[in-house]
Amino acid sequence: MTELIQIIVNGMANGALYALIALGLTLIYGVMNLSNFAQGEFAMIGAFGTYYFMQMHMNYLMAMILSLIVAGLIGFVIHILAFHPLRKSEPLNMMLSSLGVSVLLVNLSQYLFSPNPKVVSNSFSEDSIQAFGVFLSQQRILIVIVSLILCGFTYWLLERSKFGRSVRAASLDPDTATLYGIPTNRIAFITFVFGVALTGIAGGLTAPIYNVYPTMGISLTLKAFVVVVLGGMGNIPGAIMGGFIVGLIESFSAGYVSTAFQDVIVFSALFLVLIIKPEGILSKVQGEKV
Amino acid sequence: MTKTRLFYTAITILCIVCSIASLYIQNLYLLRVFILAAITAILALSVNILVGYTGQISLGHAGFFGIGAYMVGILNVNYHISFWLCMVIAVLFSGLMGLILGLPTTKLKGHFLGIATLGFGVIVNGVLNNWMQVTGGPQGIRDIESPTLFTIPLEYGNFFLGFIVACLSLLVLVIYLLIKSPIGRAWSCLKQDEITAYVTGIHVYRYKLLAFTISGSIAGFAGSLFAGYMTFISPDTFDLNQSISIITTVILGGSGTIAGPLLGTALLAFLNEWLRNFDELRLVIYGIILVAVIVFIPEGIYPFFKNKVISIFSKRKKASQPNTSIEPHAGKDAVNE
Amino acid sequence: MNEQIMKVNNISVNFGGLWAVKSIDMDVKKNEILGVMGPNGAGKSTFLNVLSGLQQPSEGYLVIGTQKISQSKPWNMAKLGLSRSFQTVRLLPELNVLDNILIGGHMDAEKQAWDILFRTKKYRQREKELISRAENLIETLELKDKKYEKISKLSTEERRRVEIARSLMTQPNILLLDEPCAGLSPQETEEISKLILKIKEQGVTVILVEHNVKMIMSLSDRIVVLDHGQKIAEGTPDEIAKHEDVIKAYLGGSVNA
Repeated sequence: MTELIQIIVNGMANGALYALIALGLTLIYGVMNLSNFAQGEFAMIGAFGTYYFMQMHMNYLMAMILSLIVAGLIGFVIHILAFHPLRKSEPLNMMLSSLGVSVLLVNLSQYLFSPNPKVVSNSFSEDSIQAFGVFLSQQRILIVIVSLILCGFTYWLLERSKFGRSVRAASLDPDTATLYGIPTNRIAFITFVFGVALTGIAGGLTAPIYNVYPTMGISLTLKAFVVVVLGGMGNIPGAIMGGFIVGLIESFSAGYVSTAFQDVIVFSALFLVLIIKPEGILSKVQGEKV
Repeated sequence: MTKTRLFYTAITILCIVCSIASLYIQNLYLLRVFILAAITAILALSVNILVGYTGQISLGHAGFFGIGAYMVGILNVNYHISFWLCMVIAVLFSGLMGLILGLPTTKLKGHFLGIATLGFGVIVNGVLNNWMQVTGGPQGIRDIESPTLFTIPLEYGNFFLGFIVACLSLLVLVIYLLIKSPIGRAWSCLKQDEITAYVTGIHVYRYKLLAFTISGSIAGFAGSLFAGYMTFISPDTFDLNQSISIITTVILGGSGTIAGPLLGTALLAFLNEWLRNFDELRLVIYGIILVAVIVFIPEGIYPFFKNKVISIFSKRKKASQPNTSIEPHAGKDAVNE
Repeated sequence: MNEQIMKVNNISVNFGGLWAVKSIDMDVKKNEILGVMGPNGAGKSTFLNVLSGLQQPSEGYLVIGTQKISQSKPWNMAKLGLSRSFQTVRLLPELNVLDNILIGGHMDAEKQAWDILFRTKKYRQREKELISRAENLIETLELKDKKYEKISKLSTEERRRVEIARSLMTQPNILLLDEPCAGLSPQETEEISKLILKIKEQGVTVILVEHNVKMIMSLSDRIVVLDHGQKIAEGTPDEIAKHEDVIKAYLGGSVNA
């Protein structure tokens, strides 16, 4: 019984992380119609940033904030160079461009930081809480809390604020939005930087649990895509739900089948969902985005 | 009509010359580069059927490539079936996998299709890596028999290159015939507008499935050639990077054309060799070039230059004889709009 | 003239609680021009989509010939001899006129792998036939000098012609025309009207959805009027012009327009 609870708890913790990355992904998809395959790389940037800032004897929180700013800045530059010029072109081209960015970032960081994994330790990561026989590191609790807060904040931003209204307008119909004086290009910029910065935070959060290495982003990108498809593209509550589902599937398959087949099982689940409900589990009935 | 016939004769002769010339390449390293490029070209052609002609994205083609290679590896090493029979089985089986992948995914569009096919690639790679008893896991399969074609041992690179160039030429011909046939017309119709395809009686799903099946079996064919040439296969050849590099080859060259993927393969093979001078920065530069080409020439290199050439020629024509056909309609259009 | 070719039985379409089309019954007779009219939002387009198989009816069924069809796949409708045009022309802009029309010949083309790969005599013969059929259509639709022109270079009216040619290429028994004159000048409308009569002469049944009341009144043998998804009137143009409900639906004015 405790084993089961342990599995569920671990799954939820990972799921919150995936939800956070997927949140950035789904925002960017919604506004720019871009499947950003370089999303996980920004988590990698966030993680490396956290590592190097902590090497400079900053505390964990400070390092995270700085590295999220770094991720945002890099995102800004990349958006100008790789995505902004393609805004009128086919979505497939943008996607390929993001693949190129992914190759570039992974290998650049391999060149700069060497492929060897780096270990980040902060005050949280060693301690863990034990309750009812279930172990949970404080870092994981931190991940869940921060992720949920950020998801909630983003949701509030989109649904309640004036800025969010323009974002939603721009994602539903960019042309009409432009006619009504909404600066769609600027919104695409802000969304991209914001989405990428969120992922940067996720990277900073994982750094103390998993090691930091240049190719860490790839599997995170894949997971985030599964989450987004499960939850429905461009759907924030869906992304959170999808994140937990993927986290749970993963920890259950690690617990009961084998760690090696984790990815296979996650993607098989994805197939299952696509067959049964191609628009994602939580998506409302709506026409496809043309 | 005579012009096209001349063109095809020229291409046929070129292919034969290539096949024969390949027998005289002395440099072993160069030979290897050429053979691997030819295999990549076959893969690129197979992806092009989906991406270029049918408008379906595939981000998991390394899966079919791997299935083809492992089918040959497993059957040949574990069950001692002759290479050629293995190859036939591998082509059929990867075609079947294409069909099976197509069944759920033909209803998907755009990004969803991309992610589903990507998932297929990840699943295949995961199975290859972890189903130790059958696939040998990360160590892969060794000592695959080198094929012999009518007493010609293909383990010599020259012969293999000659063989593979012949295969490639044949494949180009087959694809060309398909594209010009009613099947190709149906594909191009459903690529551009599915609703038009519906009302003209094109069985959209069946044609998509056909494209998946053909594409899968060609990729499996490439895989079995790869297994026969390398005699050693391991899962890391068939990973996500491979899938991505295949599709970028097609898009860079120009999808939806026959010359495009071939040109893309040649350029990227050359680029890869050239970038070896840069050691660790190799893939960084590769990434930059990739983004730059997509940003500046999104339609692909071949169509870009083709249009350039056409526009140069048509300008000359226009200069010699003032345009007659455009004028009367300019006014009419203006009224309609 | 009175032979029935298609029967529409109690067709309804429900979009999330809203009845776009409600319980429509009607007969289509062989070789007539049947006009379908109605104010904006009357459900004409949805109804046409049901007839051409692009929209599954929530209730009811069609009878074409002897076959009863309730939930049909869209590609089967073309096989049953039904073809259609669209209000906003659907052509493949990157291809030329001839290739676009050839797509309509898909069902009659030779599609056996063997024949294609070895270019057998049968295959070449079939392709030649299709091309000459397409060329005949190009001739009758007066598109001859545009044969190799890309669609993106044609005018709206020419595009309409190409689309009609493609529909005819499927050799339909019933041709559905969805506002063939939308966006055309009066002269061009006249041309298209002549064309529709010519198509009728060739023995094709035409179902014509049109906004232009004058045109539909002059062309149609019979007219069905829809409003709010329901059939409110059916009859000859003269009967329709006098029908009270129709006048009410159009608020009097536009019937004479």
